[in-house]
Amino acid sequence: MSSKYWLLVPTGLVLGLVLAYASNTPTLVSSSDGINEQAVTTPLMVSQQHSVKTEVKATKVKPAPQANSPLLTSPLSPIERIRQISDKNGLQQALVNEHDKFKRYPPQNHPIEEAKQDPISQRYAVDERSTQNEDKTFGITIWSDEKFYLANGTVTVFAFLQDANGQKMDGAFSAQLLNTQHQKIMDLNLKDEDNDQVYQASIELTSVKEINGQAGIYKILVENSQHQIKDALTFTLSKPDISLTGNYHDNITGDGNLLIEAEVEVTSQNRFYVQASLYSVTNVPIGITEFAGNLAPGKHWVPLTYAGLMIQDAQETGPYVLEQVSVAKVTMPMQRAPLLKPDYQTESYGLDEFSNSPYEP
Amino acid sequence: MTLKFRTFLSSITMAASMIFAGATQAADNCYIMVHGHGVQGNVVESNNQPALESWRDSYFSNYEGSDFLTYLLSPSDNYAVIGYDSTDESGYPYWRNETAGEIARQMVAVKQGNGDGYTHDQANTQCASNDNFYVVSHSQGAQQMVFMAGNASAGSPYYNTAFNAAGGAVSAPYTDAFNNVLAIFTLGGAMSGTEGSDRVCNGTWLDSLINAAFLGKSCNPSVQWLQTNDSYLARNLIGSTLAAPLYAMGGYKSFPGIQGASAGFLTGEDDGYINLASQMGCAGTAKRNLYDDLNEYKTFWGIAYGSPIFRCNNSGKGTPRTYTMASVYTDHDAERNGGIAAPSFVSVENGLSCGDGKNMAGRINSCTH
Repeated sequence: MSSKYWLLVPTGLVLGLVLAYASNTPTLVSSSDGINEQAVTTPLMVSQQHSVKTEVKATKVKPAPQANSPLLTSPLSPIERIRQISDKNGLQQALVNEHDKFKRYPPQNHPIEEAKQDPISQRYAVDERSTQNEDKTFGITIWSDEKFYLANGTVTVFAFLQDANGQKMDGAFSAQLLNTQHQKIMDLNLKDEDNDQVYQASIELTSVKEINGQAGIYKILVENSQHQIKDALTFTLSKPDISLTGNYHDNITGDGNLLIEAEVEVTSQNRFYVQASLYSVTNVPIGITEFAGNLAPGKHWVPLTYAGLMIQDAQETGPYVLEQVSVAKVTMPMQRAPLLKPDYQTESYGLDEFSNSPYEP
Repeated sequence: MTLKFRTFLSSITMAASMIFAGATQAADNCYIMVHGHGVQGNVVESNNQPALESWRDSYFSNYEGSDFLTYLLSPSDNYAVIGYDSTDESGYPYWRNETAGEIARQMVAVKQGNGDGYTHDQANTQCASNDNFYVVSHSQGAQQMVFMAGNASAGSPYYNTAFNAAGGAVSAPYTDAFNNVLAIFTLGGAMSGTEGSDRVCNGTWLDSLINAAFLGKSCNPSVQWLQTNDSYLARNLIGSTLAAPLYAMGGYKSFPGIQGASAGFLTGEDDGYINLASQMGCAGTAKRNLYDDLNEYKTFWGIAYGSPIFRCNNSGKGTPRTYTMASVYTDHDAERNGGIAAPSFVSVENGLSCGDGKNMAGRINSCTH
């Protein structure tokens, strides 16, 4: 044990003596707290999968804590133990800073510092996928116009061939549409109709009888056989069973948060997930919120709550814009509806109307 | 008077016990080890512990005898091995009860101080309930962590939910699993999939040797859900936050010997099997042409030039609470067995310098002490 900690012994002895004596004084004795006792003794839901008894092959003695170690664990949470370390390294300092930042807002809220970090934008952004041949002299780039389609949608797929410098070239492509089980549904013919060296094909989903509106992940396999380059893109055919009606209202809650209620119409009982990003009228991103829950068929008001402090931190006064909304039926895979931009604007609120209290002090 | 004297003696005894109890309650670190793909981790027998062995097995002879735990553990540290069935034969995707649900239940048991059920070579290394918990995950284990930690709060889509074989929802204790977890470390994580899985599923994988070592030869559901297409990624199946911060370490070394050719089939830098952009949790596709400094550039005949057109710094991640830790010259095999003791590295934007010069296990050790 470090010499520093020996200094704690007499201090602790005196303190412990006082506390113990006080706790043994008849007038201070009280019965155990039944609620707390229950909380301690009630096990969490756990399955003990392993039954092998631990055996020790080697003996090792654990050293006493070092001077810089977090001590006295019982009253402190792990992050508070890290906070107490006097000479934190980079990770330890980062953990404390991150924790403090994270706990400013409730878990369903997350600030958006730049528009490119808007989680909804990221989820709906189309990836252009580039793949090179073995000797990296040629490559293909493929993408689709969306990621999520409804049963009556039209999927458009694009492809171009490029040289090692990234310059587009003339090239021939073959493609196949595969179903959710990776089985071929049909061949596709990609054409360069406007002579821009970008080849494309479209699929009207209602016209493909093998799809028949079946939700799931579909794949389009694209190949340039001349240079032996192949890659695939995927899209999700969704039947979300939830839609925005276009009705909204908003207010500031009693605890100083912004509440926007969005009316949704549900066509079948299920668990649904709604995510919505809030921006200023000058298009500055503020933050995101989410709602998840089981909804019965019919109309419902879905609460979208934005922490007052998150709005205060953004330093943007109202009115605010419900910029992007994603609604989805929670199945596996998740059935997201195409991106919604409701263009709803809240009342004009002043920053000082919102709470400046953190979620966890 | 007698009563008072007895009370005084009792007080001394209690005070002494409080002091010594305090001295023995110093918080140790507990590393919760979550392995990657292709491990029969649901089997735990006295002479057959695949999940534990996965942290010291080596595919390449260069790394024989190496043990991740040798570099990870300081004398006061504990660890817990989490085992789940990630084999191709079973083919469980990361959202199944047999994967995510099983991992969560074992994490809860470990955090309750129940031990991991494995035979540790090192004495006194079972975790206690009051330890400082860190998760260490490799490869598919990182994808598991994103899905689980991203569905641990009430507003998340698959809140405390995994799925059974029939597609039914099963309760899984993600919230409890991540409560008070200080950080999730990912090593060579397949956070946005691996192009290796793409090639298996699209029929373009040429190096069957590597394929057999790290993924199956068939596009079974577990491999299918490790493809780089956004539709399959855990990051699209989570809520607005993670239950614990995630610190990503990526490897950019090819495999030893002829298997090093695998890197030629992967876009950008890679660890022989996982694209670096995926390992670092970058926004956008895993197929970004990311360099070891975690930047993407324009290229002219394969040579990068100019300023970065994308930076995978802490603002360039595809999941919330995700941060860069380090970019290390290590391959996918050595990441999990510590086969390269002191790999070189590149200083990267927002990276952490604690543990510089050490392998991924050593970096975690340095940064958590």
